[in-house]
Amino acid sequence: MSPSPPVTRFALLGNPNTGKTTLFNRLSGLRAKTGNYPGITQDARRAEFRANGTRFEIIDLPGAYSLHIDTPESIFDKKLLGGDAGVPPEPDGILLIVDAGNLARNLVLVAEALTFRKPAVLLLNMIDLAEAAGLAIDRAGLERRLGIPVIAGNARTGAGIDRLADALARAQPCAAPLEFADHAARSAWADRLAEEFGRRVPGAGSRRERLTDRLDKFVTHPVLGALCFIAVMSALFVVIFRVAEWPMSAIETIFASAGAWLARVLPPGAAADLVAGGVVSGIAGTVVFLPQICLLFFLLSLLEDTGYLARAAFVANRLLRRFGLPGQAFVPLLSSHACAIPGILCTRLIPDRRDRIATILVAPFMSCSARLPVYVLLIGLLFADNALAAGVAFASCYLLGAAAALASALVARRTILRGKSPPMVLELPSYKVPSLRTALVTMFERGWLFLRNAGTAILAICVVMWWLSTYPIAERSAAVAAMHAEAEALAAAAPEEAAELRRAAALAESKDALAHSFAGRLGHAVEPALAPLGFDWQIDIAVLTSFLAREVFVSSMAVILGTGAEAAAEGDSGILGAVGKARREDGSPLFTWATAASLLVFYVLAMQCLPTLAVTRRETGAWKWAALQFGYMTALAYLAALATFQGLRWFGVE
Amino acid sequence: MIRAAAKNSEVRESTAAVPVLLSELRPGDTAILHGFHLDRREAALLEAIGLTLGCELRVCKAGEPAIVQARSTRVALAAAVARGLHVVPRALIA
Repeated sequence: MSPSPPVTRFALLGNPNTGKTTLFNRLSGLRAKTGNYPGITQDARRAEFRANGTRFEIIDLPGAYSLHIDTPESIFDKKLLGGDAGVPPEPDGILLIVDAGNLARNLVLVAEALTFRKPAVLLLNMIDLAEAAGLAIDRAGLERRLGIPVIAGNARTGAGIDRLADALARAQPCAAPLEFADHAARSAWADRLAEEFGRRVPGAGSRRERLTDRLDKFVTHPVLGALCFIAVMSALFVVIFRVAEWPMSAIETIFASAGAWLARVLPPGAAADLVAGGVVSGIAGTVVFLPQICLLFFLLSLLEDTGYLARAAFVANRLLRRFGLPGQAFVPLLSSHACAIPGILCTRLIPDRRDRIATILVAPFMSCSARLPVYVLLIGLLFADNALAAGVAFASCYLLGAAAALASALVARRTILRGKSPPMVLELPSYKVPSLRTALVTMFERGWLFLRNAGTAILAICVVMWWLSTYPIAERSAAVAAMHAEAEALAAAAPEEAAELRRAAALAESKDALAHSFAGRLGHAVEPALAPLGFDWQIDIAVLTSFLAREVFVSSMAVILGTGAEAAAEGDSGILGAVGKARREDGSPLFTWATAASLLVFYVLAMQCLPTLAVTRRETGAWKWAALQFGYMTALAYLAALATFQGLRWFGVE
Repeated sequence: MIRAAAKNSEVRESTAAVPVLLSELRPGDTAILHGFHLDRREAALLEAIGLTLGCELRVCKAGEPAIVQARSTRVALAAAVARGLHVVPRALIA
């Protein structure tokens, strides 16, 4: 067996909007790994590819305008190029990518990178677009002047990219040292080079510029721009929820069948209960959200590629700035309607740390998909016969979450995150036809990241919850034993009556088992604290178990009320019927109108998602922010639910 | 002559005369970037994006945001930033 060829590690460096991600995706396909490095909330994706018998590793660095400014991307890139980022070995060379149509600005970063004296290759990306805009670039002349291989191509179409491997193999450090006194000197050098090697045909490209001017005027207009923004975001929202419905219901059906099949084929016992009740429902609870997550990132990638998102940030800025948030917070907040985890990951778009932390703290207030089953259950109880009122209640839940997010952001920015935010400055990328390939790669990567981060946590939670609600196993009570004995006696004479009695005995037994379990004991222990909200110990168990993942509430209620298997077979209406008929120990209804309303408000505002807290900790770099997020949201949810329950009772609503 | 208003402010100027605020220009106007009257970090970011002293700017859109083009870079600026950029209109230079 021949030894594997040595890896040549290249850092991929470029300005934002130069097609860096497109090039990386073209070189790596779906083989990229994203690494987050301790203390620095920056990702550098890595991938290997093989060409001409050589194995290359590409590290995709965050896009930066300069290595000498005080931004997280610049600091990270500079450290990594200098082998000082606390990351795996420093790169052997640098693959520089520049926008051929914007040579002067891009060459400044090239000059900075070449001072590291590493072998380098320069890709003049989007050369076809530059030529179409009337720019003629002397590639060979630039290569001679810089002393490094220069390739012209387009990462989106793949043109010229086949020559890249060969260029990487012959990469060498820049012969002439490029030391400059300051940015102005470096910029002047870049201007001279761009003028010398990039000849612009007079008047060329002005038609495109005029068109861009008109489009920009429209999409950033205070009224028309806002209407366009609402239309685009509404369309995004509708597509995410409507299109995702089909795969989501297919996933639910597949997992329900798998759970039922496993329950049939596995020998009865604890292992079968764990697999069918804990593991399968845990995986299903995670995978069901995958279609929404994938669609969200697919569409956001397409939208970003068109050049619209940067303009939209300015439109959103007018509204969000009043609440202490930047315009870039809009995408994370919108994403959080699908799931707060990708929403929080999107906050990396926000340059200012205070703005970013404020957005992370309030993102989980937005009503995510995991809250939907809870809303369906509780609004179904509240407005069973009034579809219009149910619709208004649904919309109100979303509005309450959004209002809580904005008000909390304002409070945070005026207290713990006080300070002036930098006014917005954004480079506006040119309008382009989006890359389907990039959107698909982004979708697969983000989907996988969600499954890995959230899936493992939710699966573990479901197993722990199953254990807490199953053990210690209770002895069969005398009443249940008597019911079983009576059923045996009736079996021959009245089989239907006996079967009914057995069902009642099984229900009573499962309730006894739950009351005796660790979860049941915990429910009883916290009952005094949650009773003012209208909750009894059975609801308390569901609230406590769903602290780890809020969608667990519905399945917990099904377990608590002993309707798990039946409800699963009948869908939501099965659980809804059981919840509606459920009684407290004193015989009164478990869910009064006031209790259901209080619980609904609690679920809109409460921080019940352990994976989100873990992501908050990772993205902010400190547990204190995760603890604050949990404490603040829980306290707000408690107080709001208390006010709802007591207020309704005060007005005579039970 | 513009002076520093705060300790962290960046006041840098080229040698040309008669500067006005960028926010005073109208769409289609061109001007030479004359000086920054901004926070040091903001000024550094603008320079890195391509708005360097002495470069020519074309105003694509005025207001909030102001959109300018410098070389081949199109940049949107909050009105507060546009008020911190001092420029010399081409019309005055001519």
